[in-house]
Amino acid sequence: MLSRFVLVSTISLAACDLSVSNPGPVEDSFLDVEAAHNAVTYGAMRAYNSALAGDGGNLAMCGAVISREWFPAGQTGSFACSVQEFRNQLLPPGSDVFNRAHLARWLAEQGVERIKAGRGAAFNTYTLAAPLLLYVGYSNRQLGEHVCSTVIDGGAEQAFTVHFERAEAAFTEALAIATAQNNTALKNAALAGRASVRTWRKNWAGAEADAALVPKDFVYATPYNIVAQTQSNSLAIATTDQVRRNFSQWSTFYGDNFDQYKDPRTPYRKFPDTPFRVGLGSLPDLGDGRGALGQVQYWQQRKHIRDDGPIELSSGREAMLIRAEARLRANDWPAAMAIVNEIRTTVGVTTKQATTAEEAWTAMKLEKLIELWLEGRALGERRRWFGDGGDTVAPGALPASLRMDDRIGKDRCYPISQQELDTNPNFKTGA
Amino acid sequence: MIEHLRKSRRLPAKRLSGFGFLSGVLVAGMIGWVSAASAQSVGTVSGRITGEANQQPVSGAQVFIVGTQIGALTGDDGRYRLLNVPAGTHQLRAMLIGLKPTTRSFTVGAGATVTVDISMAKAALELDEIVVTGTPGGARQREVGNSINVLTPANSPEIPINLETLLQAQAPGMTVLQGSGQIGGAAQIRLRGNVSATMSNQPLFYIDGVRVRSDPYPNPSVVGRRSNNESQSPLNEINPADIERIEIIKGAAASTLYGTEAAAGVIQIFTKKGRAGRTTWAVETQQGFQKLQRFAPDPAPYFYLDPWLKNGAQRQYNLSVQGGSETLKYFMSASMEDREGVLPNESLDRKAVRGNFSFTPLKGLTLAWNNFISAGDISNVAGGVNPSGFIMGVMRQQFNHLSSKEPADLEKLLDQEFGSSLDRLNSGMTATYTPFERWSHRLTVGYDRSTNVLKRLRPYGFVLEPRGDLDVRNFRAEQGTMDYSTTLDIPLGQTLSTSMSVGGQFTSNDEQTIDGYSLNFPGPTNPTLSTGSITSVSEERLRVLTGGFFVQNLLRFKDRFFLTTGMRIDGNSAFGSGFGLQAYPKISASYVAHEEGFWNPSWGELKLRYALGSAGRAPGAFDALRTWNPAGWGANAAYLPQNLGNPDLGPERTVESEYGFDWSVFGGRVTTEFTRYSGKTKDALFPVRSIPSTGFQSSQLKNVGVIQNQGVELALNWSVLERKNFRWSLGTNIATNKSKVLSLGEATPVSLGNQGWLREGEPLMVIVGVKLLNPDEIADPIIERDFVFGPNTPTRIIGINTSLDLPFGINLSGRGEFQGGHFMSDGSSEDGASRAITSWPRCLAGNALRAAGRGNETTARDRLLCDSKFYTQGSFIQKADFFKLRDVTARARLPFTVPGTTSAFVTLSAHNWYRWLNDEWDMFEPEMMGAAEPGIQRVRALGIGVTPPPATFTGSLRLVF
Repeated sequence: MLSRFVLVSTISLAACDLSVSNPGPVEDSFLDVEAAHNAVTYGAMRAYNSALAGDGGNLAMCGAVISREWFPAGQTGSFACSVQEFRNQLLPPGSDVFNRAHLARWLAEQGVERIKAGRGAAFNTYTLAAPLLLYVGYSNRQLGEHVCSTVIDGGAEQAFTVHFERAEAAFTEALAIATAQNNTALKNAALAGRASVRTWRKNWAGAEADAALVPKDFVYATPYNIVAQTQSNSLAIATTDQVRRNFSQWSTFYGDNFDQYKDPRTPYRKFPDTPFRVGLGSLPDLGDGRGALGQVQYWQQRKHIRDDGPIELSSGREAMLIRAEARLRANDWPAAMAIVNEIRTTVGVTTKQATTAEEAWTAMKLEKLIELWLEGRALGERRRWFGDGGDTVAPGALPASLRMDDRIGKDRCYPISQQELDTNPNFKTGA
Repeated sequence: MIEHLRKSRRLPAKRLSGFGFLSGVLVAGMIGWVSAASAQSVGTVSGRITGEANQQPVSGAQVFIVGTQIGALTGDDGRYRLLNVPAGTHQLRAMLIGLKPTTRSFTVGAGATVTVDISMAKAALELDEIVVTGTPGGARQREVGNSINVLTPANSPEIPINLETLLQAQAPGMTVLQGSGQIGGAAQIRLRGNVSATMSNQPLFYIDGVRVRSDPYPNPSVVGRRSNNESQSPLNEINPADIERIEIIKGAAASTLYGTEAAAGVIQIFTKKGRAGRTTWAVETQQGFQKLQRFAPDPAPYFYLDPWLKNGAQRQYNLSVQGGSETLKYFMSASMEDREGVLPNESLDRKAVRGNFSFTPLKGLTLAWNNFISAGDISNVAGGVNPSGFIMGVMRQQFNHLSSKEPADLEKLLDQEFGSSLDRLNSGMTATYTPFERWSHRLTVGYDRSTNVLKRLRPYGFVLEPRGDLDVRNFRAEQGTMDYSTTLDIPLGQTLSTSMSVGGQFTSNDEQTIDGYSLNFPGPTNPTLSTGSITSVSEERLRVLTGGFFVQNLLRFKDRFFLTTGMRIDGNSAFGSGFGLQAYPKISASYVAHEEGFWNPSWGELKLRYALGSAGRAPGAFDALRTWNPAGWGANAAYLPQNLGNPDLGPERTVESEYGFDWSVFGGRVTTEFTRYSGKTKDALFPVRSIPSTGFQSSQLKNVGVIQNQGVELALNWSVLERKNFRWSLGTNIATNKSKVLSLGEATPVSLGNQGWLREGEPLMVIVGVKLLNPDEIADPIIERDFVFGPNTPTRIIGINTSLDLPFGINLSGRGEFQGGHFMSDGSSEDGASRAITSWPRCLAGNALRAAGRGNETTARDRLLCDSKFYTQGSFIQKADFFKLRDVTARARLPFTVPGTTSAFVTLSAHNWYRWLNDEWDMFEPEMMGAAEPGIQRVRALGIGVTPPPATFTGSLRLVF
């Protein structure tokens, strides 16, 4: 009797439909549907933005502290960096820069795979194919510029330069599709993007050739949104007038540049009547001429003043400076200076003079740092000039406020994340 | 089964009265009908029931005439009155849990009235008390193999502020830690510590058999839409004055029949019911105040909040009516709460009504219908981790987001609104049907609905958001319960019998959150979500279904040996598609030794018990699925990875054994309850981190961990003195809890935040951080990183209580509680130090020295905690031992008669007015959590922007008519 009850009840319970399909999160198989491909593409783009400067991603924000693009003004935690980064001591090993950048890469790459699998040859006619491939390129460039070494999809450790190979391949494919689709903007973005990664691959002829095809006034930027703060430009949020004053242009080259030239590319404003933001009087001397950090006066950057302000990924002026560097590497420094001054004339600041190749290198470097200011690129460029890409150390001394001498012997790049070391079976020591 | 229980307790059978009694209007008719049935051949019996030891009146005792259906309950004055007693000689019996049943013979003549007073002695062990929780339909204490704690707030003199404070220090193994000093803040309730690293550790709560929400409302904190971060508790919407009794079962061995989700234990609340007999009205007014105690060193003992502090007025009014006939009984109540906090903008205004009805239309059939509705509004000051927050802004002084410490500037942070509208509906119907003496059925169908509409408004012109913004979050939780059980008693001989029970249970849990946000108002206005130029909305919905059935057999031998075996089998919608059903077996035994012939009565009364069983904890609704988050990107749809998914995901399954005894000696003046328990969770859900370069980066829950949990519980009560009009009792509860992660499986050591870690060989949620090795030395700090401090959950809990009865109905009582052996991170000080905030009260002296260039005169501790040069994350970990006097109450019967009343009491009560903190607490206290969801939060840490729970002083006047 009892055993029958148990049997019948068990069968009844097993047959009873307790399954629930909750709304909200989307099951994986839904993404294979063609109608979902746009969302797959935009997801990859959003992930790139998040890694760069949004939704907790702090590559641009805290990388800029290391590369002296702005100065920490005290606040830690949300929309700010760690105390270690503020002290300019190290790039924290627990930082999730590596993870977020890889998420952006993986989403873009698997998005391409998923959509290609779904559409077959029609992929080349898909409207968002070229943009998605561009983000494959940019996300790999972002990784290549910032990680010390890398892994791909849980594989073994590889040199970070593998990302530039993948980026170039993606830009090349995007270029072909954009050309076929007669989309000039995307074509220029692919050319400019490919030119930038070719500089890392020491293909200066190829870089110069691509860069030469990019219009001087061209800009390809990744947009941010005010729909939610998680989609907004964190560089703007971190330096709002009142609530957050987390970074200051006080004692930076960029502040000096604006003071000297009124350069519209490095705008800032002072809050002379505002009390010092936060006292950090006990932080150690950085040894770069600025002395010990005292209380930091708030000088607000004015490049990113809107929460939905875009961040440039490629531009005609960056392409021009790639050409200038190619000229320098070809020992044609007068041509390089001509390009630098062409840019300066365009933006309305006085030109510079150089009498030696060394001075021309310095001028080119400063111009490029100005162009790439607060775009999450300067740390990578400076790393490349340090010779991290396998090239020789680039000539051209920089002013004291841009010196990264304290980084000698320290990381200039983000290590493989602790989570990857702990979970990837190829890294047994961390398991 | 019910009949069996009645028989065991020798209760009178219910009167067969017929159908048609569907409303209170018919109550009068019913009474009239009963009155008409009186005849000249009957008489009246009345009298008073008192306690043998103190001669105090015994209220609520059942008084009935053996062999008849005539009975009543005593009132607050101990008096009863039985009408229509057939002329002749009868046996009058009085019964009440905790007292020995007592019988008196009397003779009454036709039309006469006789007085029969009974003095009842205290029962040593309450072995015949019926408990329901964890049993199918109910069982006597003697039959239960696990420990079960029964609280009777209705008999307690104290004035509970809410349910959570009522539960504090009441049962060994139960910890109730308050969250913060803000109005409505939820407490963290644990039975035998934590049983899960990833799921809620809040016990299941039932009210009159209906499952109710026990987890606090979701944390209203959202990045960018900062709120006061105070999670409110749906439990505190229950009026403590409505509670008759609370049953607490701890551990998997006791909660097996609740199956999945019950591993953290079960607390069941029984509200007051109607009583046959005279209609009784009770009215009570409570008046009092809250007072914040200092929580920082001089010269800022209140952390700069002094200009705004006040004593928060507390008012509550209760009204209840209770009565009925044998056929229809009712209890109805209404209450109004009006409370103010100790800071501006802190208030609570709540109204609640309850209606409990029971109806016996047929012999053997009882229908009980219990209903509860409450509506409340809570206003909070802007606290928590909130750039616009008032508390954080004051604490940070000039380092706040206003860059000002001037009161006039800080006052501007009060110009924002944090409101919660809380509505609760709880309704349940239980049908108990006993068609034959040995066969009973019980069916409970219930519904519990709780809503919380949270509003946060920074008006146009607000100092830190001049454009103004509004966030409205509407959260609704609905729980449905359907519970059926049937029990058949089968005699197997003169001394052997068995009860076979089978049943099933189905619960559903639906939650919906709709969050709207509006920014940038056109001008000063009373805005809605439509007012701003920028608006957004989000919605979340989830549903979890659990279905299961159970079988249980109880074997009795000589009514002294009891063996219970049972099994529950569950399915759950959150289980992985490949998982299937989960079985939870149990076995328990109890032995009433003192009823053996060989027992020497001087040895007292002894019951031995043992239980072994299992229960589970289900994963979250989406944990098994591979999912993507439709996150959106501007105006475009966008997918982001969310959950890797695990089709084999199942519940955590905890197997626990417990054994112990209940022992009473010295004529019942000393009673002891001892339990040792040991549990192991072999399928613990641990977060297994994903390989980040493969895309899905959040951790995936897997049933990979092994957790051990063990401890002892001891309750000792001593009736020190028992004299007429003078009685003094002492009691203590001692509990230990030791957990250990035996295996992480394939998971790696993982931080759970707040310096809490999951590590193999360490307690569940072990606190790891920076240990200062030379705290008092005048030197730079020498630290040890990655130092294992110890568990985050208290490992030693000692409760003490005492009660003193004095002449003239005066009673003094008190209870206190020590919790210790655990550690917690001071997240507030960590936050301050990480921002180099120099105004932290403990740092003022050292900072003055540093400013004078004499920093080398400060201690290593001061430098580590206050000098940002030495700031190291994880340095703010403290031993969390503390003691609090949870309650001190004085109650007295009014020395004069209030016309029309049968009793009148005045009571003065103080909660948490005394506390002891260990030496490491020069600021704050261990009962400051805030900014968290206490049910879900696994690592308890001191929150940012909160104040400690204040002391509460309340006086009440209660009149019974």
